[in-house]
Amino acid sequence: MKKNILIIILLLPILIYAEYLPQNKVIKLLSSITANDYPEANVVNIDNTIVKLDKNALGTFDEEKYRKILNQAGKNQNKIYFSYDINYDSLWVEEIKIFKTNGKIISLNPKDIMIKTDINSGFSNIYSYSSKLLVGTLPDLEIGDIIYTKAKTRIFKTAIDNYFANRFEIEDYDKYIHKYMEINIPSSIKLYIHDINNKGFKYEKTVAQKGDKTIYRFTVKDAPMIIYEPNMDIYNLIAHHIMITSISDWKEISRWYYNLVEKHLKTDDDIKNKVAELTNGLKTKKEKLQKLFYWVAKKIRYLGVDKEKDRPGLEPHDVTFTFHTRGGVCRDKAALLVAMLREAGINSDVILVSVGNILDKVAPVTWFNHAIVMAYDENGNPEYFLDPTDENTKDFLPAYEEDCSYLVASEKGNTLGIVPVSKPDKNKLLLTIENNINNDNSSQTSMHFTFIGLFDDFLRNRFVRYTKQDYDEFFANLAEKFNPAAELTDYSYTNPNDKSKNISFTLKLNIPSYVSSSKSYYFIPFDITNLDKLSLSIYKYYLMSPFRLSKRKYNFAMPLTFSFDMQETYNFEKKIKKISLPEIETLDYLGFKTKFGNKQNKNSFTVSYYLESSKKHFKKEDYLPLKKKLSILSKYQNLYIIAKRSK
Amino acid sequence: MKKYIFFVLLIFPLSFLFCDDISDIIKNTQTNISLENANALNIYTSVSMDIKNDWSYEYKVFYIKKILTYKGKKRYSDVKLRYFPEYETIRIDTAFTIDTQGKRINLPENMIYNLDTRDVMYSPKYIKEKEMILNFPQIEPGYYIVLKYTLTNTKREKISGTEHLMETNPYAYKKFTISFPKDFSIHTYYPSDKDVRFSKNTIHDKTVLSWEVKDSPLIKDEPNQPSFKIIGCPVIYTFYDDWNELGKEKLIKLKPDKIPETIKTKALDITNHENSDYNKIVALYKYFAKNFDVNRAYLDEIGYTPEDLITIQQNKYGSPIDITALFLAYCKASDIKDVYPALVLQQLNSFDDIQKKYAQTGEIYDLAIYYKGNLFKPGYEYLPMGYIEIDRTNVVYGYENPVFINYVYDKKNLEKRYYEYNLKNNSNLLKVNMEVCGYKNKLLRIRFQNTTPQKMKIWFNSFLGLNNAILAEGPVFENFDELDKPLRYNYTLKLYDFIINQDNYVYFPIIQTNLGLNISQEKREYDFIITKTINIKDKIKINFDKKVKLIFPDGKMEYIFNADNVEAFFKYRIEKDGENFIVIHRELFIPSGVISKENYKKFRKFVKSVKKPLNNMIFILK
Repeated sequence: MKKNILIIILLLPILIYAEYLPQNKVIKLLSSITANDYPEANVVNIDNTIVKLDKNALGTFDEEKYRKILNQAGKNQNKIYFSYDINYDSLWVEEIKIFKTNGKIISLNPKDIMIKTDINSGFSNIYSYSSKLLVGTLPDLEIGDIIYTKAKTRIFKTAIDNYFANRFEIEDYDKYIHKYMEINIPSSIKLYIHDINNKGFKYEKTVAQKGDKTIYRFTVKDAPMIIYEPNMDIYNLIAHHIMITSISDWKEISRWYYNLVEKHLKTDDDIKNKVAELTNGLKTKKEKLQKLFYWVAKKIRYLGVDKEKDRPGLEPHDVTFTFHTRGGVCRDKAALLVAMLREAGINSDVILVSVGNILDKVAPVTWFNHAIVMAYDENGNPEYFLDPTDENTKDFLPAYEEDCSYLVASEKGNTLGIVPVSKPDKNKLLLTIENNINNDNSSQTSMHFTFIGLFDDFLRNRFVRYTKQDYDEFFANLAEKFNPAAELTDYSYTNPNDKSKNISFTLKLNIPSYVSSSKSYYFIPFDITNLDKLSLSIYKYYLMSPFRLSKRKYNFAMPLTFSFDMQETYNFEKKIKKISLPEIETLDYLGFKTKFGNKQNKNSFTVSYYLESSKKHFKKEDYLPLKKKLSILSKYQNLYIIAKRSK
Repeated sequence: MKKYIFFVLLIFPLSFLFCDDISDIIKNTQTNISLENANALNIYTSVSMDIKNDWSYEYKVFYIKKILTYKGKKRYSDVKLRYFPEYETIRIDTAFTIDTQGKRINLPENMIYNLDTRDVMYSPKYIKEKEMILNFPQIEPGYYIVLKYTLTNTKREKISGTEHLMETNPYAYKKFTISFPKDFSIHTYYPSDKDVRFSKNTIHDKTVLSWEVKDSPLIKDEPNQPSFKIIGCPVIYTFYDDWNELGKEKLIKLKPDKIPETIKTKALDITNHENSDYNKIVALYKYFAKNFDVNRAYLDEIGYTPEDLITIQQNKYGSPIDITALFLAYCKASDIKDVYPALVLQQLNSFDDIQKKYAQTGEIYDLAIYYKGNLFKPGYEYLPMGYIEIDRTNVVYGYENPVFINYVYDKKNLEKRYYEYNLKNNSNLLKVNMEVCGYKNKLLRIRFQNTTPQKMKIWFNSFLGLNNAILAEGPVFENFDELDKPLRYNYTLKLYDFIINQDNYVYFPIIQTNLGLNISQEKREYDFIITKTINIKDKIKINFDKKVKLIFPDGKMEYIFNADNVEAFFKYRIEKDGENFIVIHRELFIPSGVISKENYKKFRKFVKSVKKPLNNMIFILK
């Protein structure tokens, strides 16, 4: 308690004057803080950021960061990182100091500590000299140390001329004792400030005029810390933050990207000839779209190279370059597809997408991470989203790109939208199983799987790489997962390069001891509800992963809408005597729905099971009731048909 | 920019010169190899190594590869040539694509990169590796990749290496040549059962050895297969006589000489109150785990000479070599005897004698400390003492006269689990007490040792992966500070919808054991390797609210596999403990080792028996 009072007393001058916190005050404030004050934080931070911009929104970012180590995990963070892009900015680390608990200050020369490296994107197949990383390892860190770094970033080019945007987080995944940001900008550039998801957390904002400049100051003290939960909803939907942007209308960003793309769309004779060749004889627009889409998706391999001239990392290369090298990243492939579609008479534009994210609608920014294509109908209305980055997708737009922000880059300008979420039947697994059970307890079983939507995409991307041996291995593995005693006797599958059909395959199994027995009973696996086993683990490890927690503090989201439609038939050699079948309780709760059916004949019976999940976003209050309801689905992973042995 | 112009100038004229020869090679290549599982066909590959008197060398590679499939296109279109710029350079002599019509397509200017590798980002002080990336344009099945490059190495150290004449795609033709001064002594190996043409010549003052294969088939990709060195067609060469020579060259550099006073004082501070050498080592191990940070490094790149001990001590971080050297210095300062540095060799190659017979630097996987039959790696906060992340491998330890041993951790890698299900009055509580060693101990420490209370609950839930349970109590980790002991932890779960009521029966699953062994294939081309031991002892107690009439399981189960020096077993015993309790004792032991392809069928039957889903079910009559 005393300590908290002390912290409040120390914070008092700052509470009154929301401004840059000088070093002596920072050290005094941080020195009094221990791990007991913030048991969920490994380190506590204080940041001072001062941005000074000219009339073109170019200038400097001066960032002072203080990090106090509270525990061993904080101590383990002994590396410091700074990154920059040589096309847009340069960066200098000016000071590094470690304030020890005994009052000693260790000054480290950044030139000795920091090492510059290329940012190598690893397996993503993007190569560039533009992105640089400075890495430094700090010596002899101890719990209680305060690490201070001061860095200057000089911005010499912006994505859009005279553009500035930033986010000031009130709620943050790290613990901030004090965070200050000052933006000093000519009054000719108006900044739009948006207070998003305000939950009443206290922060200060001041705006002052000084000559021809406007000075914006933002301060938050003892900022609330978000403790990350797997599958929690995205930051922009749940956290209190301030968006600062010089753009008032998304149309401006839409037009900017249109103009950035448009100059690269000039086709040459080779492209024209290829379009003519590919669309030759095709009558409908859909046919042409499919042909051109699948060609760009498959033939242009995902490959990122640099040397763009105007806005590297943002603009596409000339479509002729992408076409002739047969390589490009999302924006290159999107631009080439647009050029080819237009060549075929199909009106289209590139779209910017923020995959996995929903941007703040009120605050226009350029923070997109992907580019795809919009094809219009005859009236100029949006008709198809197409993403040629996914080299093997059957669907024009894979479902993992749903429920995220997009912006069509159009000549007239467009506004921000959200990619609509599919109905559950668009991502579906269809399965029929037929067990022919012999008197010796063995079964000749056949299984027929059909995958739709994202399930199709997931498998198709694997199967296109498969050799015969890979298929042998994959199907044998699947058979063994279905029943460890199973031997795969035969299989067949659709050609993954044939986009006209969904991925499907059939397995033929011989299961020697399909029916297990004890002295007095028979046990037959009731597989139809065992979705984990039958879904190649997608069900447990992906779709239902949000339900692993005991409770939730934040709203959460399902990864996908989906459905399973299963049917299993048991044919017995003899007439069935009295057997005990599992009783299946159905469900219809908050977007989750199940159905169960059972038809019995003389010596066979057929069961069917259906599950759908149609909702993506959930309130935290719904979590436990929903988890409890859905727990029957876990129970149904272990069901058996039981029969008494005749004496 | 200058660099690119250099590349382009270099590539274009040279590629022009070679073009006719290449067309001839492609035209004249005829092969009978099966391409059923191939993604590319190596039409022509020539690798030569020319070693100079001072041990510097040139390594020249020239290949023509035909792409056969989409996977081949994805895999080979972007060629990455890794090298260490401090002592290696790469020169690209020829690089272009040939289409199905025989037309050559050159690499455009910005399709060649020379970047730091990804590991440099994690440890830039110790790793200086670069990769030259060549993005071949327009590749499609049926196209050819042509590449010729020269790597020059000026490290001037004794050389050893392996050139594979079989890999995941077939070779229509491959030749490997090595030339070296006549007075150098080389040891070589290639498998005698493979169709390899070997020749030895003396040209001027050099010995020239070459190995040639035609129609060399691909190595089939099987789960748990042995290394290519064992099942493929490796040409192994080394100028080291044996592991004694190689081990000494590396390990002697770690021998502590004069111990600086500050280190001596600190070491004695830590160990003075300990009454045995082992306890002193434990104390030092804990001190290093908590206070030092081992930075990633490639041992061979940085050499085996540690940084100045005082600097390491002050920085509290260093390469594996630095931290090992400092630990040895602490041991010496504490007067602990019989402590040595150890080279831990590649596990997959340790299953064959060739690793022992041919000493090669490339076989060194890691560095550790050896003490009286135990191995440990100091400076890793999450590594339990005595566990080096490998259950069985070869090790070379010592200084002047290193010893080669086969190290086995198997039985120590034990997991003891106690589960108590309380099913009284629908409470459905599951109390769990665990005691884990080795890999599991490390895994849990990484995830939870430094986790804050709320985050611990969130991530532990996630780790358990149960959708039908919530944490009622815990998790409580009892002894994170005891790195030399098994890690003990406990928790209690509240289970929802756990018991299945079905007509006259009640049944439910008990906790399963995930074997993680892929035995789905009926037959194998190669032996089956188990790299990680499975050693689990379970006691499962189930408390019912009334008298239990058990209908399954109705007896004990025991499955044993004993062949190829691998003794594996599964034992299951169920008994009543009073009227309302049942107790299950379950034991599973599968050691690391090699199952020969001849005994694979038997082993598969054993694993299938263990995996039976019904083994994890309890059925009761209402």
